[in-house]
Amino acid sequence: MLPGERLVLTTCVWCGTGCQFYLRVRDNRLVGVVPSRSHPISRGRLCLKGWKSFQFVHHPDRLKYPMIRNSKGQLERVSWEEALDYVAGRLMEIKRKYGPEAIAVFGSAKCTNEDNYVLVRFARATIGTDHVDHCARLCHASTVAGLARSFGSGAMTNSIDEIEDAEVILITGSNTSEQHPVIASHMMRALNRGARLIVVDPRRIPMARIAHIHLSHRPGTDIAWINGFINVIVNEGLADMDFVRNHTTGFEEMWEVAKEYTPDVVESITGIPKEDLIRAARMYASAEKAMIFYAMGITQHVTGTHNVFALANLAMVTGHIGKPSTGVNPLRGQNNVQGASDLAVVPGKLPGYQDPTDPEVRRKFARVWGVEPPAWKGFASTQVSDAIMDGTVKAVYIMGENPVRSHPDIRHIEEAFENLEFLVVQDIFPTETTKFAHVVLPATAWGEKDGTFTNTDRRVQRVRRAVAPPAEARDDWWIIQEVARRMGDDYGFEDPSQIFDEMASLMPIYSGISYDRIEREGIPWPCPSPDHPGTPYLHRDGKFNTPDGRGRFFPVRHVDPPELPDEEYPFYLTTGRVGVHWHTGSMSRRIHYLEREVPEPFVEINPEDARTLGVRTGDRIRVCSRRGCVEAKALVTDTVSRGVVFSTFHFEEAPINLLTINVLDPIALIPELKVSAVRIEKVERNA
Amino acid sequence: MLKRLTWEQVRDVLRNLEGMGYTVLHPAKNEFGDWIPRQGIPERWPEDFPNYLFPFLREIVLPSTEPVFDTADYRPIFHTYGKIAFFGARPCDATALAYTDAFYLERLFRDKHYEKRRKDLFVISVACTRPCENSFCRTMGAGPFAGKGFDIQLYPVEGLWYAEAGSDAARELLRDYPDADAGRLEEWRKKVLERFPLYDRTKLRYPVPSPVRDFLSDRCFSCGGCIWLCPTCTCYNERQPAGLNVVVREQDACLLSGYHRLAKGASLRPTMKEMMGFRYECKLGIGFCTGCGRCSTTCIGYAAMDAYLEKTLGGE
Amino acid sequence: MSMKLHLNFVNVPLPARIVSIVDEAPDIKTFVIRYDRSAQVLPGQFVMLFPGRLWEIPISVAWTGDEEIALTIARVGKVTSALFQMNVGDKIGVRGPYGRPWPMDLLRDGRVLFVIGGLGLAPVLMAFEQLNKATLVYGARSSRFLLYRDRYDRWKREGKEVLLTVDRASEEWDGHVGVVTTLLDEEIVSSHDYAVVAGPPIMMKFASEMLEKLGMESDRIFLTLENHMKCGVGLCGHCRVGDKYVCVDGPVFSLKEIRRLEEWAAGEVI
Ligand SMILES: Cc1cc2nc3c(=O)[nH]c(=O)nc-3n(C[C@H](O)[C@H](O)[C@H](O)COP(=O)(O)OP(=O)(O)OC[C@H]3O[C@@H](n4cnc5c(N)ncnc54)[C@H](O)[C@@H]3O)c2cc1C
Ligand code: SF4
Ligand code: FES
Repeated sequence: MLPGERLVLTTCVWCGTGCQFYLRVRDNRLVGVVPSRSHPISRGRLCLKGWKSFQFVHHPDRLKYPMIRNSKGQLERVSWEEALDYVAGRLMEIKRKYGPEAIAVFGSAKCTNEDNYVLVRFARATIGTDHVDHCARLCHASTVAGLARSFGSGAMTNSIDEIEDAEVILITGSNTSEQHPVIASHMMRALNRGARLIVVDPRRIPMARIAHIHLSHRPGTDIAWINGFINVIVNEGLADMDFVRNHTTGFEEMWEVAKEYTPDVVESITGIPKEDLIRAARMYASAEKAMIFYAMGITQHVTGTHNVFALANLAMVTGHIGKPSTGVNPLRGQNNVQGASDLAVVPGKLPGYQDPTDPEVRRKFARVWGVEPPAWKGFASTQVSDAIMDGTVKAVYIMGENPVRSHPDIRHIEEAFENLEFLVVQDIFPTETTKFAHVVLPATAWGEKDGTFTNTDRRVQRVRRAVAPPAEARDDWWIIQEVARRMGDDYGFEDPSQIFDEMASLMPIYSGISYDRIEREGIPWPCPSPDHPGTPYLHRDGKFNTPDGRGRFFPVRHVDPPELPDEEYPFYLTTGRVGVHWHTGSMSRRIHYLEREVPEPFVEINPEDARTLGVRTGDRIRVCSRRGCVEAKALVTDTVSRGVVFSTFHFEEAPINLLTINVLDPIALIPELKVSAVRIEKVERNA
Repeated sequence: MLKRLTWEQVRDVLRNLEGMGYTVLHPAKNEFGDWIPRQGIPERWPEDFPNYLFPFLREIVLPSTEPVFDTADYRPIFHTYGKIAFFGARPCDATALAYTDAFYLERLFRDKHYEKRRKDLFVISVACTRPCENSFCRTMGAGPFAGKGFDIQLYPVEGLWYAEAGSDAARELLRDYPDADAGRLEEWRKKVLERFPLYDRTKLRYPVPSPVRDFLSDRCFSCGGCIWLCPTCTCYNERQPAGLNVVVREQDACLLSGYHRLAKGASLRPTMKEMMGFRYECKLGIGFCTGCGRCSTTCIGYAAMDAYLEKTLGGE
Repeated sequence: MSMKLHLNFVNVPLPARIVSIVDEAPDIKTFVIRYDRSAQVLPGQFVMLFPGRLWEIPISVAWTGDEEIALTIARVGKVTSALFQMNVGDKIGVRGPYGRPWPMDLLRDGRVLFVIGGLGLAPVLMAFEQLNKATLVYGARSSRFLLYRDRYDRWKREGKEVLLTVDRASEEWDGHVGVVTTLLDEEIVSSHDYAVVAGPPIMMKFASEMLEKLGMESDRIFLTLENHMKCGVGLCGHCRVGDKYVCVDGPVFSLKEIRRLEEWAAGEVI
């Protein structure tokens, strides 16, 4: 490398694609990125976030010292000793007084598998609580719940490598080119090789502009169009009935429902012209290899799990599953949301999707952890605010999350957090959540720590330390281990590879993986033994991971979203992200080029609606729902259809989740973030 | 001057350069299978070296971020990698260096930061024998042999290394080696040239036909990759990074909307189509493209020069 | 740090001092800066200004004095806001002067019509004051935004015609109301040999089109472009239009040159 510089290969910190690249290090600072041509996913390609990823690491706002809130209500710098003693002492006190169920723990999809594993052990063994959750609740809880029931495994069925061989690609509820740019790149390659692209999305996203068919449905009507596809496919004899007979159960019950969804019915519910629906259904069904990709547009609904069932039904009806370049592929948002889910940073599970009520499993964990994990099922993060309000939860320990901004109905969660007896937040930047914390602990950021991430196609890949952390920031796993030690539970980890070995020994899906094996290239789980090559696609030959080995059809019906536009609130509000920003913006808004691309909040509105309201691009508008109002600049664009407005949740200045509705999917407990009803007003400037 | 050297003699030249205080960099595959420059004198020439994906040569003279002055006392800050002998530069990159030299040193204002680093750089290019991924260097007149931008250009001819001197320093270094037969080299060059595709250069000109521009714009996702990797992209931005008392200049990319934004959020080129036009004006209109193919390798949307070529030449 | 070294580095500002700050209009101030290279400034040139943080911005020199330059600045964004927080006596970074000036030799030859909007008066002020046979047609948002009002009487005394207009009338205004192009007609255009246009982009576009329609040839109309500039010395690439770099090849261009650039930049075939 150039004199005075080093290169460190690592995995990208933003999305779940799992690109790898080299960080350039000069004088203990990150100064740039060099792409890796040999990496199987990125192949020398990166999105702007990846290219400029390093810039947030050295931002002066980084948390540098442990802090405890003093009697005046201010955070005051203390020593690590003092902070750790205090945290351990308070947690023990609360546990003694109210029991372990009074403590909830949030993990993070931005942290490594190792960090999350130590957190999970801390929660379930040291504290003894099952209230463990992380932000996957807000994105793919419905995927995990849905696909686990349909197929027996709640992850992407196929791998990114296989995309280029697909004949048809169906994208729904994923703005792939902005949210998973390098996955979109693999799709572009498939298109160049002759594949057809179907996009079903209420917005005319960039992928829709190059699609062969774009179906624009009303927000919240996904089940209707998917059932419509199935209806056309079965009625036209395009279904793979051999596959259905040999590898699935429940087709009849499903068909009882789906047969009602004729193209006419679907058109009236979704607004999709029936000719287009039929054309798209035929295209999907008649391909040899067809892949479905989806993301938050499917999952962040009250019907999120049902939407996922519907997609699974569609893939099974056509036999597009269990073969290369097919399947139902949820695109996981966060870099390590797959890993955090694998490690059971969710209630009611143990690492590796193991059942905490299974005595065999309990014994296995008890042998390593010294105690048996709780057998009860804890709260989802979206239920925690209610649990705090009714006094069940007294203390919350958060590692690397900002629930005060990312969760729906912000007011409610703020109120709850104010009521907490004890809140510990471990993070790299001050956030809206640290404002409520009693103790703030500075953690090392990506680029400063070793570990692994598991990307959206289940590939376990190395993350490497390139520079030293600022001041007194410490690795997340170290912090938790130190707290645990003070609570009388010593894990004895000295470095992340030890942690990995322990967790792999407990998780059959990871058990063949070790740092040595993934030094050069990641391995997709399941990888049950050291000589197993890993599993690029699941359910080979139609063998599902369900108890009877068969895929399950679930009949699902369209129901209206909990809130529909009416006279008072005539617009659909749908929320999402833009390509250059990340979630609550605490990292991306500290990166110059990302911030410069989209420096301020905006609301997309269709040209015709804009004309009626007398709004032009750049005008300030106020968006109000039954729960509150935010102001932002209008962006007039045909990306959204009439009657729909779109905004993002990146900006503190316009916290859009003030407006969304706190109604949860009853199965996955994921909030409805994609549909709410709003009214738009132009803000008149006093001249 | 054209000389004839054995591989051992090539290594002697590199040793001499080391003796003169240069750090020698040469191509090597790292443990992950990527080509990254390595310090020291190579044992052998890696036949399979295509080119670096990252434009390290540009990086040496024009780092993608560098501090330029101190905000407290306006003291200039000068970042350098020291004296570097860059062995194994590909001809396209040597040509690119000649372009950036002309831009940074031969116009109204000379850039001292660039100039000082350039003076400390000794370039030994090695002629290519096979076209690499996505390249069309021959069409752009930048490969497989460089006409400028090198101190020494080596040709691997029949087990020997023919050495062409491009600077006085190089002539001095090569003086004592036997002369080579220019005719032999010419024959070799002709043979090699035939392996390289040649497109109709007259069609690779600005302006970009409108349908092509639409096609490319629809597929550009503004990652900036084609620019971060372009050996001739030199646009930069200056700013004070948060928390530091220096102004840095860092490479900027004209396919990012922020590049074109004016005060109050107005923009000179509000649409992707206009930004795309702006880029092609520069690369093909002004003529800064060397045909190295990096942009095509890194383009997320498969909408870089290779797509341009295919669309304008219509499969010729 | 020796001056010599500074001069070597074309993108490092020189330290200078603010000697006075004058309020011109709402959110518009003139900063007078002690700068020992003021004598080199030609009409229409600009300097790069650095408020000690953030980044540098290009600002036209409105007038010069003995080792002094005056810059009239509107607060529109980050750097200009930082400048507005500065005080007399503060250190400020300056580089320049840069850019192609107004073609004064040519303009001295004939009668020059200045068609100016708003802040556009700053970059033409020196040129206007140095020419003898010149007419100023000047428009602003409202009368409060007319710049350098204390100079108008002197200009009139010197025999220059000064025509003013405002977009929005206020009580104390009894002059012409309307955008600046409403003051243009065939008579005024035909009685001048050259035109100088400066102001907001939209205004420049309409004014130059109008001048041309009224009979002024495009190589006799001169404009000053305000592109995004980062370096001012032709290196950073931001200000490029077509194959020209506005900071060194401009900012002053004739309409004819701009037309050629635009054609080149539009670059459409088919
Ligand atoms: C030749 C010329 C002469 C001029 N003369 C005058 C004059 O006499 N008086 C006057 O008032 N104005 C003049 N201007 C305009 C003046 O330069 C702009 O108003 C000024 O640059 C606005 O700066 P700002 O930072 O306040 O605005 P902002 O809107 O904050 O930023 C302006 C530009 O900086 C870019 N930018 C934003 N963030 C960053 C960042 N972090 N790093 C780097 N760049 C960033 C933006 O993309 C935008 O293009 C002139 C311009 C030119 C080209
Ligand atoms: S696509 Fe995702 S993983 Fe790849 S560089 Fe972009 S943010 Fe990182
Ligand atoms: S301002 Fe940098 S090139 Fe003109």
